[in-house]
Amino acid sequence: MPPKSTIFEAFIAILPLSVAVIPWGVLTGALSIQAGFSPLQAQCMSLLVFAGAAQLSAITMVTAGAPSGAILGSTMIISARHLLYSMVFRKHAEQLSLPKRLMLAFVLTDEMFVVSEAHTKQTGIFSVNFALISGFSFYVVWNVATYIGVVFGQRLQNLNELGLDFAIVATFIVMSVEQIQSRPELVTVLLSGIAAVVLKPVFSESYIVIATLIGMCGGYMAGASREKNNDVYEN
Amino acid sequence: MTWFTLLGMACITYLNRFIFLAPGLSYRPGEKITRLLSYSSLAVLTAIWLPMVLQIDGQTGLTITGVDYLLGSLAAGVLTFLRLNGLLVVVISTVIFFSARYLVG
Repeated sequence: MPPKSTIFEAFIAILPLSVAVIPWGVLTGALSIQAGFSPLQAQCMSLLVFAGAAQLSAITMVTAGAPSGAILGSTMIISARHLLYSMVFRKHAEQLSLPKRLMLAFVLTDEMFVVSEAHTKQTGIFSVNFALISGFSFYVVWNVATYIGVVFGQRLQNLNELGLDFAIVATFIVMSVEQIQSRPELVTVLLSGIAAVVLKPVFSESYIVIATLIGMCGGYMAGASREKNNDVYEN
Repeated sequence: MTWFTLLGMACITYLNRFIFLAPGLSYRPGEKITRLLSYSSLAVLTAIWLPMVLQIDGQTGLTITGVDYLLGSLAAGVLTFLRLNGLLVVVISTVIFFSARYLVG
């Protein structure tokens, strides 16, 4: 059993994101029923797939009558960024047992990834308990919200217009501005931010992973050129 | 929705999340890839939040989601830059967001 302080810390760290995801969970549950899913299917999708953007896109495609292959293809494109997260976690996971790796992958979402990476940068060490607790508490909230959507779907129409998504904006701004310490980080933020805004209308769902890769390359090159300059000064 | 599609989606998302955590995989990221990956969380954070505040519209150019989103974001950015505690920044900027939302309508 991990120490109570870690449980509390991980739960609090992801709390704003858990609150912000409630309207999307409810919406996902409600729209699934409207798209003709059985209540069991609607809940199982949140229990097994656990990927908001991929689920919402699949529901929209089912409503439009898209074939199964197209839905699976779009799932692949939308969830491709998780490949990147698991690559980052690979180094952290070297000493972990198989069950812990399997669980870590099961709850590896955008939200858990960024909260856990912020914690790792802050403390200097990766905590698998922190990652798992933040991941599973987010999983529980997502599934309870889906259940509420499945049961009360028709009566909760305007939930996504309440502005609860600002909690994501605020939390992500804090976590990104905290990381800006020198030019490479600034370049990363500017490039990925501008790329995301520009690419969003063009690539409906895959803009996040494309913009992320652009920002990463920019930061890497800014870091590399700075090192080169330092070498010149030293000589 | 068929159960086949649903389970297929579950397999695809799980494999994307697990593949690099698989113990059998012998790949080890080198120094350059590790450095590249160190910018990933910063890049993905920005790529998610900035389009929630700013959008490009074919007709009007750059638009903001609303004055509430703009003021709340500015508050969050400035207060974090001033090294205020993170949770406090989320609370204060959310209060500013909802105040602006209520006042502007």
